[in-house]
Amino acid sequence: MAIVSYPKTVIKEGIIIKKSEPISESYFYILLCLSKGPTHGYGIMQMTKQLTGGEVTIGSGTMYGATDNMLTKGWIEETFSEETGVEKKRLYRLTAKGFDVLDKEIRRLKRMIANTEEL
Amino acid sequence: MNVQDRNKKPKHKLKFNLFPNWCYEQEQIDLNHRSAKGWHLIEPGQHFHKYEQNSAIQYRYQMDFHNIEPEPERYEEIYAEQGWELLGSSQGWYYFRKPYDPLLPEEAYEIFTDTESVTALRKRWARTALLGTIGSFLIFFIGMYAFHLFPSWLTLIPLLLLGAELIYCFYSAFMIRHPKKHRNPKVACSVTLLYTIFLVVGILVFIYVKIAHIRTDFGHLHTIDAPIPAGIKNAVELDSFDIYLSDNYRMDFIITADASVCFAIRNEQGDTVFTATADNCHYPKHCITLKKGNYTAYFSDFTGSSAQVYYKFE
Repeated sequence: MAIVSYPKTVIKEGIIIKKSEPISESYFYILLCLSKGPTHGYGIMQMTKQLTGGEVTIGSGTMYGATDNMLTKGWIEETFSEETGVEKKRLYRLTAKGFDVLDKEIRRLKRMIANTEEL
Repeated sequence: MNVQDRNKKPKHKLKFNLFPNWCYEQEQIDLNHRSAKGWHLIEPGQHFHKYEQNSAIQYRYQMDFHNIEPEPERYEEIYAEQGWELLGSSQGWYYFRKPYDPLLPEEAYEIFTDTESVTALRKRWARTALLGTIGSFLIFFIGMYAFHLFPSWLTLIPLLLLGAELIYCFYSAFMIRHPKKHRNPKVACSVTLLYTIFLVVGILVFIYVKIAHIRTDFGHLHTIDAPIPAGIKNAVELDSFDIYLSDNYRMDFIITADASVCFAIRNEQGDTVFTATADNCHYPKHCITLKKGNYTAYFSDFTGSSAQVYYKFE
């Protein structure tokens, strides 16, 4: 289930270049929420809702598909809560690769806004 | 709810699911309508869904598809976090439900909240349907080869059923990628109904044909120990048998004799449908066309002293 592929390697005129492709809104918010620290699926959903004022919601189907894809790509990894006395909850943590993807996406978005303001 | 109501066993019913897989959105709407009427899906099945009656609650239903089984714990956990209860799965389709709160907007009951995840689901299903089409296509070719080797109702009916399966799989793969083409759920349900009727009738006809062939499937062994003068009039009647279905039959046929002998099978009208003259011969799986009716086997034109014939229909 490949929704996005980032960064994409393309060969142009014999030269291998890294092409940055946009990621979907859901992917962006999942990465953004996880950049603040490990959290569980419900936490990501709540934080996204809060950040966007309810404009962006991540349903369970979308969440499973996105996290599954990100785990495969190595953007995030699974971890479990270390709180004692409570049931261990599955958490997601951003990897270095994930941080890099998020960083590139933020720079891409900033560039787009800057370009828009220039004109 | 009083004590008497609580002690009452909830009513259950099984309902045939007419919605084809490419119409999963319409199936969700149908499940929601049934729930509003007090009948809630509790056990999804490939063809039949089990419902339970309870007028005190209402649910919203959602479906997800995975061709590769998802990680069970993580999958259930992500859905449970948002209040979804997994009811079960059938053919890769996972059924979820959540108690309905009329104060919440309908968007709160959607499990796919962006276009990418819906497209991904459709792709997963289309890939599965395409694999089914390729599989059916290969089996269809094997069926065609079997029909070429032995043209009979026994090989033609499975071939037709495989053909229907092939078309249905291909149609499914096409329709799931073109959601705008199935706005009318009645048309989709009619396609499934026709396909199901075709399969059921096909299987019943196949059973009938198989029984007719089994009734004919017995061996005949005859021995002659005296010469028979030439000519049809002098032919010795060996036995008679019935054919219950006009079709092609396979006949195992062996003659062992010390001189040439003529073996013939004639129908009720006296027409010869099979004849063989030999002293020693073996026709394994000889194809013979026989119409429904009574047949008689004869020996004639034998100059030797001992002959044996064995024939068996398959």
